[in-house]
Amino acid sequence: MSQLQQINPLQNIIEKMISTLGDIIVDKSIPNTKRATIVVKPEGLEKAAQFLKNEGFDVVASVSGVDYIKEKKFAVVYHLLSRTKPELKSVILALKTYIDRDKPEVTTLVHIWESALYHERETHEMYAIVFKGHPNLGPLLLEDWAGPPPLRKDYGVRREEQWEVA
Amino acid sequence: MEGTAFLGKLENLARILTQKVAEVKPVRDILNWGRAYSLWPVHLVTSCCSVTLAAGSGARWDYERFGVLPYGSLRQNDLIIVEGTLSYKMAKRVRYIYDQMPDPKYVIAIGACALAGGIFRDAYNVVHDVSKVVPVDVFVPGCPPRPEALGRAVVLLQNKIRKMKLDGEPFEPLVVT
Amino acid sequence: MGSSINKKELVKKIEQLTEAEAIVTENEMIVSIGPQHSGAGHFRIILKLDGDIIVDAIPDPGFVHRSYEKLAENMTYIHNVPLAEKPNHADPANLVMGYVRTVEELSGIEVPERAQYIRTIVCEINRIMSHLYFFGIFGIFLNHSTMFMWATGDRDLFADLNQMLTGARITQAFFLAGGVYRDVPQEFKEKALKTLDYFERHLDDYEKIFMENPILQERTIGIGVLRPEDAIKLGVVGPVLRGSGIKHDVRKDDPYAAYDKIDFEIPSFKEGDSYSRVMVRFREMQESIKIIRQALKDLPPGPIRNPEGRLVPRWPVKSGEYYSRAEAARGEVGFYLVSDGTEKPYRLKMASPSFRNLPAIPFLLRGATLADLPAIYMSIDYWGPEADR
Repeated sequence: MSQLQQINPLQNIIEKMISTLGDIIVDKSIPNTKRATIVVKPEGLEKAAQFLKNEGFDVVASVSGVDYIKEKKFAVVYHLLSRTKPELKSVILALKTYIDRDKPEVTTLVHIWESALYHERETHEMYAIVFKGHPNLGPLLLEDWAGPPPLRKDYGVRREEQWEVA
Repeated sequence: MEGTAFLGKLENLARILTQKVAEVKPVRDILNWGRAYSLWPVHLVTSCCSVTLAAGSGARWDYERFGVLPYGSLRQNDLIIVEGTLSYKMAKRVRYIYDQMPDPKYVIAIGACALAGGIFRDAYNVVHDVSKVVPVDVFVPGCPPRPEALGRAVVLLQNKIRKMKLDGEPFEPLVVT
Repeated sequence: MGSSINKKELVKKIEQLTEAEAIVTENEMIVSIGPQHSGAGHFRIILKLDGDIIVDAIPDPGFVHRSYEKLAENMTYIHNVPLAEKPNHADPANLVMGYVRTVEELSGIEVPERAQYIRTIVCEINRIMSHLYFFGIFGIFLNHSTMFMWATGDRDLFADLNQMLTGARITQAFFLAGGVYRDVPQEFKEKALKTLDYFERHLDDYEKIFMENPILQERTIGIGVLRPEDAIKLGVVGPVLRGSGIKHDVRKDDPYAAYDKIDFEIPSFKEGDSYSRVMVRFREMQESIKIIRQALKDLPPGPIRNPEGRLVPRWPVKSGEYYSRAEAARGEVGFYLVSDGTEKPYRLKMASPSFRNLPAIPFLLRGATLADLPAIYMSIDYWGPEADR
């Protein structure tokens, strides 16, 4: 039993998470021993984040938003790394949640991981997703931008029309 | 009051005389020669083509033999090299810098992005044609251009300056081939 | 500073940028070090100074934001290869390596061994070129023009190697999903070994003249100390992390290309000041020479391309999502790819190393003197177009 635990620490963490926090987990997928994705409900995001931080994931590599325009949802994905636990050094865990597209709001995780500060600010600027509790959501990369949030799928780029015409 | 009016008239007279003298051929040649061989560019990097600029000032392709010496203060520069893509945020600052430099001043634009937008043509934040922001004298195509192309641009600009007949005479932008 | 009206307008502008409330007392002065300065960087820092001490520093990136992520959604997978290398022209091959690795691991394409060794050679040449560019600009920041001249001069020798192998000095776009474009030409091995021998001897001169220079040591030892627990909390990557004592490198922890078959070490120092960050990059150059020599010696015969990773533009990729990473010269670059089964990515996000190192700049500048700004700011090696994408 301990040999199996040593071979795949990622699987153990996910099973522990399912057994303690089973009601907020919607989906999981583990393609190989180094990558995994866990989908949680938006209300349980903070609890899941605190659990993962106690397990040893202490750095946020990136925060991204994905625009699923057909299902009218946004997805917010946190990718987590571990710098302190040597058995997790090649593992990247993705923590994903789906939120409504017409009123995109989610709680911030800055008080758990300070490295998510500028990433959440940029996601807000590109998608207009509000992170409740973030200290400063002002513009970071664009200056005096008057249009709609640029990375949303309904903000077109000219090349699409050119491709269809040619 | 009367003294200032007299000084004002004297200054106008001096200005007209300077222009007339500067059109005389030997004086014109000396002025052009001085301006062409001491083009000092601004320490500005606008985008990724700055790697070419750094390689060009390095040991192998040395621009200082053409007289091009990057100097710190804006008020004593007369060349501005705009490299690569200009976003709207940076275009505002490039215009400020261009306005702060004294006459006569010249502009070299390097990179495909400065010509027509380059690979970033469809981006929402990018100026397509640099000559809408500052008037450009020489264009250098490439992505990024080799340092020899930038040296050729400087030489073309110098040849053009040496043939100028009037101060502030506009000339067509050249493209390095 | 002028009248109080100017101050209020500036304070209102800064309030949009700062994280804490902008309280400017009577003694403080606001200095904006903009995109045009004698060091040359595409970045603006707004400083609040009290005499000579920096009280607060507010970074202002975004001068080179060219919407790489929006363009990537409108280009096919093969058109994305030259787009992925544009954010960083100093070492483009490592960024393309991250993108290509993500596409391959999502679709399950295997790379033949010869291609893996060739990829290693190109990545290490680019790493040396980027570190030499760093040393050149570092010399300018600290008023040491000889270091600039030597570094850019040596960098051109490696650009010649790049040209012989891939066809272009800087923007190679040499990798594709499943292998590389061209094979190693006949004369390459001899020329590369000659260049590496010359460079190794020259690096000894670098160490004696630059690294043991008393003025450079005075200006960088003990300046801008970053403790390990702060380094983990801020999420920094690359030489900034390794200069604080934490040995983490993607080439050893999550190996790709031929790095698991080659013998090399990861340098790291535990002091955490600017001098250790510079020395990490110096030792990495020496390790890269060892890696290139071993790769050239062990280059196996075989194909250079997997026929499944086709060169056709309209090639659909299996739907799903994946995150993978590579080690660039400035740190770890990660690519998050969401694919819906068509020939263009649905979402491609690049977590670039300079953006992840950005919180370290205001953190280290608080409490330092103004004269230490070049030493601290340059030792983090922030590259504007890479952070803004």
